[in-house]
Amino acid sequence: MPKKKIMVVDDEESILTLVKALLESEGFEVITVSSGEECLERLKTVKPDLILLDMMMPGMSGRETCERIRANPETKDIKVAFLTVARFSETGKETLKKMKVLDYITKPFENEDLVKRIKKALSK
Amino acid sequence: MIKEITKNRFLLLLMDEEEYDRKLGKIIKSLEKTKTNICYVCFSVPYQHVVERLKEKGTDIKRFFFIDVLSSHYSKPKPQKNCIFISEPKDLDKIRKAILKTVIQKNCSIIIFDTISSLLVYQESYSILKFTHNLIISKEQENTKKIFIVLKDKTLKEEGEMLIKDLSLFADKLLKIKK
Repeated sequence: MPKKKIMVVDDEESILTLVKALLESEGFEVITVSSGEECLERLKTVKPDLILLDMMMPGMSGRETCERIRANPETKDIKVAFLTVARFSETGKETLKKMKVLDYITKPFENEDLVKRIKKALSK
Repeated sequence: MIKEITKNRFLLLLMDEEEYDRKLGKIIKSLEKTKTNICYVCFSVPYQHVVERLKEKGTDIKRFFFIDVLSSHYSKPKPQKNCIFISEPKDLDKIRKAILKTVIQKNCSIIIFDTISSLLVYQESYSILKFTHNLIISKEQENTKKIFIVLKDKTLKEEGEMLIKDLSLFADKLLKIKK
């Protein structure tokens, strides 16, 4: 069975390294990119099963990146979850639901919880 | 307005540039009824002008404590008992500390950010978003209601729109102030 592909988008190098190591040890294939712009560029050539997006990044925010993913017919159906320090309001969570965001995992996270929630998002 | 302030911890007030002067005075005046101390952060209009505007509307400013990030950037303002002047609008950490100091020392229950979108002149959207988010989640200001005013400013069109959309994800409510 081919490995599930996860793209992690975060401007913090340490988070990318940590999440990549963790998810690879769980049998996922992990692609890391450091900005929303880079994410959109990479999506022209790769199609991940899930994108894990940070919210607050220099340049394009996670929200804008997600909006652009949804606006592109080639990428609109890719599963997206947020991995961020941001605490969304109830109204904000409603907006994210409309953007088909599957989950919002907050940093700092428990490794076990992150893996569990990623698996759950992938199964949706 | 008072109802919305009571109900929500973080309000985003979106208004047209043309309506700003006329509407804002009325909104601030209505906050008098809360009978609480208010921290007023001046990002777009200097302290002196804000005070004049409030007085024109008949607002009693004795409950207002100001943080002005404009005046001392361009001139040397006369020290005021009810205002902290910050000379560098880019220094978000200094602004954050001044807000915290004012809220604690003056026991403020409401903070008004007039207008948060003006910071786009000095900062990129990402830094403003982080600054705002840190204020919202701050433990020290947990019980303080925060009103962020954003302008539909034509000169900052795309960046301004993006900032509004991003801030909306943190806001308990986005209120569009109509004509």
